[in-house]
Amino acid sequence: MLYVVIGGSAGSFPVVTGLLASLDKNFPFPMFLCLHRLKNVRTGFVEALRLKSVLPVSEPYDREPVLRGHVYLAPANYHMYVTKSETISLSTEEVVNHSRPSIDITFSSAARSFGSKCVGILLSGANKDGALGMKAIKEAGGTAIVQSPDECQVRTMTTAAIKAADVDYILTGAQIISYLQKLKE
Amino acid sequence: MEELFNISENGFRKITSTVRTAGSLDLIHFEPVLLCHRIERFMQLHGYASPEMLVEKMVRDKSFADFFIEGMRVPTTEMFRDPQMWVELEKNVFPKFKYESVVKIWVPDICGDDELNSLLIILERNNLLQKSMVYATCGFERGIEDAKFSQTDLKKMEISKENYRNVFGDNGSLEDYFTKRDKVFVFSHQLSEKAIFLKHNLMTEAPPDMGFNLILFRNRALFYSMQARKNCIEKLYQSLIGGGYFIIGIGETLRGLEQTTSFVPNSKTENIFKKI
Repeated sequence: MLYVVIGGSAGSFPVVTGLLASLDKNFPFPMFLCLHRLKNVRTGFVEALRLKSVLPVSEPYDREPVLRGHVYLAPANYHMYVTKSETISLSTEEVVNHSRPSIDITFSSAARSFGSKCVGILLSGANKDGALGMKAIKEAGGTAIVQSPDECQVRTMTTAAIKAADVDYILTGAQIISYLQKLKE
Repeated sequence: MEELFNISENGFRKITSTVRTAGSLDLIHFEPVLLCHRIERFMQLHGYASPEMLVEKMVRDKSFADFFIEGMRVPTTEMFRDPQMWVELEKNVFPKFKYESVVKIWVPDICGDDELNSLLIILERNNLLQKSMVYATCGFERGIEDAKFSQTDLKKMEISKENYRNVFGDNGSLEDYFTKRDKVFVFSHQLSEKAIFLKHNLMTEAPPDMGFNLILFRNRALFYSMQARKNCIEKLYQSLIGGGYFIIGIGETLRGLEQTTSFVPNSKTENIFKKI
């Protein structure tokens, strides 16, 4: 069993939709998306992802049990934690890196909960959120993947992660898709 | 850079078991994953390098243990959070109160003043404040005092002003309910004095009154364990009148409570429920 956590901000949307469109509908692992978004815009985002995705996509409610092959999008204005008991916890705690949801929170909770079974992927973005989360994933024995900064629309986020953590792979969007497709093998 | 999640499970257990004996509120009621993050944040903010240092301080100083527990709680984020909920409240719930002689409202477990102040403002705007009994309860004396004499900084004011505009459009300004003093905005005493502030432990005590028409409990149960959340919501349900309204955060659910409560949704998107 693996747990895939993906974080992104400015410029990450095309990569995420490309990825969700390319996965096998029998993708066997849960996927958690923490993407920076406007706090008062609650509709449209998950619907746009659903249009492209072969997997079911939803914004979880607090304590929602995690299902395999399901994609969970962190809701606007909530932090999203994943827990050892395979549930999702939401929180209205203080913003982290000017963000709620914060990628560091989601990634770090996944690292703590799933250790070596955690695969973290950080995409394009305009601040440093996610860098510490990537470090936590690596330290917990998980796999840390960063989109190549050269390909990112905004490279601040991925560059910060590469600096903070000894990441396993620096890949293009296409290579990330290919990596995920091969995961179930 | 801030570090996240660096205390061990053993350190976490040491802290929670110490608080159980030294503090006035048991951390057993808190959701462990969130609590762990709160503890780490507290340690960073107050300069505790290890769980042992924190435990030692709590054992020596009981008032510090209470200060620590208070730090575990999460303030509400802003005034008029999720503006559409307030629009629905005004449009679909308040008209039902038109012919009530008294409207009883409870905002339990307040942490920060945003939710309470938003409620007082919207009641005032709808000419309901005079006939409302608004109970604002909190387990901590300091939480009560902070809410009574509430003030907000400029940054938070800007966020709240945007929410306010999303609820009321250009009809009035949030600043009308505040007085600016230096760098802070002080909330209208005329409004806050309408609330009934009580020290009340939602986990252990009976409701401060019964027969509530409305209970606002948004995003407070996120920080409780599953059992504590269930116990609290059942208690709140019992204190509502039939036909009374119960509001939770948009990220929350009443799933798992179907056996012991009976609610129908009044607004599915805004999580406004009606007791039947």
